[in-house]
Amino acid sequence: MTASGNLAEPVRGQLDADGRLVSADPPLLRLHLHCGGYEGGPLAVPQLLSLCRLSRQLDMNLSRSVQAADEDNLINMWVEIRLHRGSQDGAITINIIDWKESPAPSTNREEPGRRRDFDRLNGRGAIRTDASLRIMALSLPGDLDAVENYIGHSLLDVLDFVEPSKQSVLVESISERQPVRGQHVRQRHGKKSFYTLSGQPLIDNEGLFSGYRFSLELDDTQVADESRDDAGMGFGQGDLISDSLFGSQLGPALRQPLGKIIANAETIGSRLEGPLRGDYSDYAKDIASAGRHLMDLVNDLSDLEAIQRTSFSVAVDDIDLVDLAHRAAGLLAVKAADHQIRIDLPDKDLEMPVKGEFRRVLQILVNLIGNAIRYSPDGSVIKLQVINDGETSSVTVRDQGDGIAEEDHQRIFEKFERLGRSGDGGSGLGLFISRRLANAMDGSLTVDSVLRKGSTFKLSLPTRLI
Amino acid sequence: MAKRDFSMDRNPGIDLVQQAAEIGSSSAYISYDLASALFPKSEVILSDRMLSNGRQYLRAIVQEIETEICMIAAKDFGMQQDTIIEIGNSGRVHSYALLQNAGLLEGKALLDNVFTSVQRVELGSRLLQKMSQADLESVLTRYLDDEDASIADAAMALLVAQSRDNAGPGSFQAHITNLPAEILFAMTWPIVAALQKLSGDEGPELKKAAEKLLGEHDEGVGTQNRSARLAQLIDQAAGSEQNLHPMHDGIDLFLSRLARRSGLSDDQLVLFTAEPNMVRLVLTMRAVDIPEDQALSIFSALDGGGQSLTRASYGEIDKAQALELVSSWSTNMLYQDAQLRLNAHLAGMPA
Repeated sequence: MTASGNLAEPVRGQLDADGRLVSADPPLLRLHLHCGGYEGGPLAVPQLLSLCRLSRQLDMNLSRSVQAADEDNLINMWVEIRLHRGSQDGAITINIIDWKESPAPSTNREEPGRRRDFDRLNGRGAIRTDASLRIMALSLPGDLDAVENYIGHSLLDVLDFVEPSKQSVLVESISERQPVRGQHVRQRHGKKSFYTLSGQPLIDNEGLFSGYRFSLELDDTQVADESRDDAGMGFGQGDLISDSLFGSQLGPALRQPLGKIIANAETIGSRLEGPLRGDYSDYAKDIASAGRHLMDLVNDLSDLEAIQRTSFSVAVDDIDLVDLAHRAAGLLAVKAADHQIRIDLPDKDLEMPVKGEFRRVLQILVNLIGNAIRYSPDGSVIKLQVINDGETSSVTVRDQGDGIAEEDHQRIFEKFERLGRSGDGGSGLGLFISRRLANAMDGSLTVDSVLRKGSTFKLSLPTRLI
Repeated sequence: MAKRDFSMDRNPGIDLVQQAAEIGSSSAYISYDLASALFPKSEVILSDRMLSNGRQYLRAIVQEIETEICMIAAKDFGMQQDTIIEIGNSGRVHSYALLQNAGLLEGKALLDNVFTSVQRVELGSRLLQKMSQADLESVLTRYLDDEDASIADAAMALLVAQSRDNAGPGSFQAHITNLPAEILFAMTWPIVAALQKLSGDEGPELKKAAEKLLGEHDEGVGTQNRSARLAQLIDQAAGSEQNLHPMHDGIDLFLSRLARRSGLSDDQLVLFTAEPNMVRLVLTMRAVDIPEDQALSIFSALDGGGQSLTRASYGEIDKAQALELVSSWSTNMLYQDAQLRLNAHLAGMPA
């Protein structure tokens, strides 16, 4: 809203020879008071005061544009300073024409560097993730081990949600790129401290979603207990997908430097902390992309080793395939949009209750939809459908890509099988791991495809009776 | 620098010995003149036309001030001194040579003002190569019907000021009404001293006349102040982002509007237009998000050296970097000057 002075009636004020504001119209008096002045006291509006001083110094009248700030408003004025001579020598009349108020531009744009500083100052931890919630950088005061062990893992793998907070609420917020507030979480491993988790989506300078910055505030009301539950188990030795020799030893050693490379390259590439020449920004994005590819490979290798262990097991959660399809598609929405690909999802009101582990089904669906995006032509449609077959319920992911020859239908589920493809960012482990995970949940993962007619992957899981 | 006339034809009666002495003392400064010609410190090329306009401008301002002072002294303070009355009525400048020889016309603020005034004339003549005088004069009339009475009023005031300044295409008339208060103040008192010397009268009348002249000066009626006021009003109106173009607003209003949007001063923008390839103006346009087509068109309207701005070179300017630079140019001028001087011996160091 803009308030303006009447053209015919300037806002007036008068200073005596000692610089005291002896009379003033209401807008000027209000501004004077807000600037720390008092009625009958010295003029307190700095911009007007300096004009009056210059006018006195030169012994000349002045007419100039002046901008002043009053609370949330900017006031643009055209000010005429008129010196009095004769009997009123030394007095000054201030005529303000074109008094226009407008809201001041917002200054609360969050500078990432400042935010981090505030977090540190307040003893808060911070986690920076990429768009798929993989941890790229973190600082947890008093828990150095976490830094080494968490880099490269999904946020959902390292934190447990404590009632009344739910993992599903977080995933929903993230898939819609909404801020996350006040979620109660606990470290799954290590010190098992309780935290309150809040986060803001990061949008890079090109307007694209590039991940989240979370802050973790230690929750003193709950006592951490390192010996509770899986006592003595370090990260990578429990129930995680990546709980393997590779995951516990070589994985962290690779993830930490890789995470730093990716996080820093993304920060540089997104110009989140300052301007950069265009081609340098592109180089940084290339570095981040190559780093992510290596990180995916490290994670796939960790998962591979984990699922091949005899002790590998899954949890049985009550989940809904429609809900998970929406969440997985939400996590990949930006990637799909980059290729102008539309993801056609089942109606949100549908229900398809099944039994399986929430994050692993999510992992399988992200893998299937990610593959579909990777191998579909730009501008095509990926269709997700749910089917109830009685004892089992399924979700299918159909793409309009080149399709897979029938003789290759089994080969694609083998380790490191790329069907001769290379350079597309895949490791050849995703489908192998996904099928092993599906089988571990008493389900199956199959493909139906004809060359040049697209592919349909079907994930089936035991139906949950309501 | 103004040329001094020492020809014998012109002053046959002057003693040759006296002339020789004068020439001798002035020739002692030949190295300064040569140095400034051989080793200019700025990248701005001062054409003969600009130098001539600069001299003309300075002489006109000095003449107007001295005439005003003499007339006020005679009329309002009863001064009947012959020299003063003659200066007030002569229609030519008298104190210029004295001031020049004493180095009183070499102040930085004054010369900056001279430069921007003649560069504005230069820009006006460049614009006239792209549009007719009639079109140029009618550009502001569109604001006269604005529904905001303040804008219409300010546009009328600017039109009046511009019509007072107009002295034909590419030319100008210097008016003390267009001088900022500080410049007029800085010029008036040396002129008073010069008039006292010329007239041999050290009475209070000339000083009183100067005080009256300064007291009555209203910088608000100057062209640049009026365009600044109109720019302020237009920029607060909705949809003001469009039509920022010298061919739409004329040079004065265009510069004032761009100055408001960029946080720079009108005078800085005028200087940018004189610099090689107008690179700082281009960066300023990028910083304030002027679209590519508009920027290219503005560049071609203001360019006087046959240069052109390409889409690619404008498009590849990093906006954040441009913003940072523009912001650094908008800091306190004294601070910028000090930085420049401190880094003067370090080739390639940014200011």
